[in-house]
Amino acid sequence: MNGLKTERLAIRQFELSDAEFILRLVNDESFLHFIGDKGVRTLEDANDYLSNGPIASYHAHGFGLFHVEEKSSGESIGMCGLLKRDGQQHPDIGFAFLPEYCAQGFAYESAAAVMEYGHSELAIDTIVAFVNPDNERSIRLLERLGLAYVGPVTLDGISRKQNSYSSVYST
Amino acid sequence: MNSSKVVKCPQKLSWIILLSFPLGCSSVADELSDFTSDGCSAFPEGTTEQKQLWHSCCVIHDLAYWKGGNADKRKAADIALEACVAEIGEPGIAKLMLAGVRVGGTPWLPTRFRWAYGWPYLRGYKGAVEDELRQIERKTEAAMELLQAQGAILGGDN
Repeated sequence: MNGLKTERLAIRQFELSDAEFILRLVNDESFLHFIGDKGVRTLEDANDYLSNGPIASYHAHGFGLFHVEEKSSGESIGMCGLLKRDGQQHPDIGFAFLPEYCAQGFAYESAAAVMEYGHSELAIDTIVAFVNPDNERSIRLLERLGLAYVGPVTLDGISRKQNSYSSVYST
Repeated sequence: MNSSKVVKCPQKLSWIILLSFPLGCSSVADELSDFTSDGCSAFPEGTTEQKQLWHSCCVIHDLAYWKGGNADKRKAADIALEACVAEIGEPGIAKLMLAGVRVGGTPWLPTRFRWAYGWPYLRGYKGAVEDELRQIERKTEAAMELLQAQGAILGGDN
């Protein structure tokens, strides 16, 4: 992946030098509430998270979570990408942004670009999403992306009850 | 040798110096008020079914308006408001809101929702000097903590 560009965003693969940003992002209150605690407390933890998470996924699947930067300021603002989970047939889309960059349409802008990339460049015909049932904003966003409600699902054992959304493209 | 020659300052010059004093002081910091938000001002904040649907879009837009800055920053904040409302599936309302804030958010009218409303009136599109930047940073941090505690900006993650 050489990087994706949208009107306001530059999307690229994560590098280990993004550890400081990751440390802040995954410990943000909304990340902890809607996604979960990744146990990342130090820069070393953040390095491990990047190595074993997004970077390992690029090697294994050719996709993963990507770094999202605001073009005008050059600031790291969030992440968005595709995940392949054990036990799930299709990759799912995920995103998270620092609180000061929420509620500005960046999630939709990045997710739409990643969906298009997954479909056209990676030839993925089905992309799903898992969302916390009380995350109304993200549910509406997924619907706007063209995903439709499938049903409840439990991820990671019994700890995370999520609603499942699916978008099926014809190829 | 003219070392003893006294050059008198013309009276006109002293008036010029006096009149230009306020301009010479333009690098002195103004005081930024604590962040407040009236949500979407006079505009509805959601649908009849979900009354607060795009409230958080307006709060984040207010945060940018409170801080102020140059005209490009105002335009970016207005576009972000439109994108936020469109993101949750209301592109028509988003366009209406964009048109409303482009006109109504001018810094040159003494409204409570003018651009840079956290600063004294007539600040316009002025950038922040060093002390003002520190005020922005400190008060933005406090505002974000409050907004997160209120749940006003949760919900951007999946």
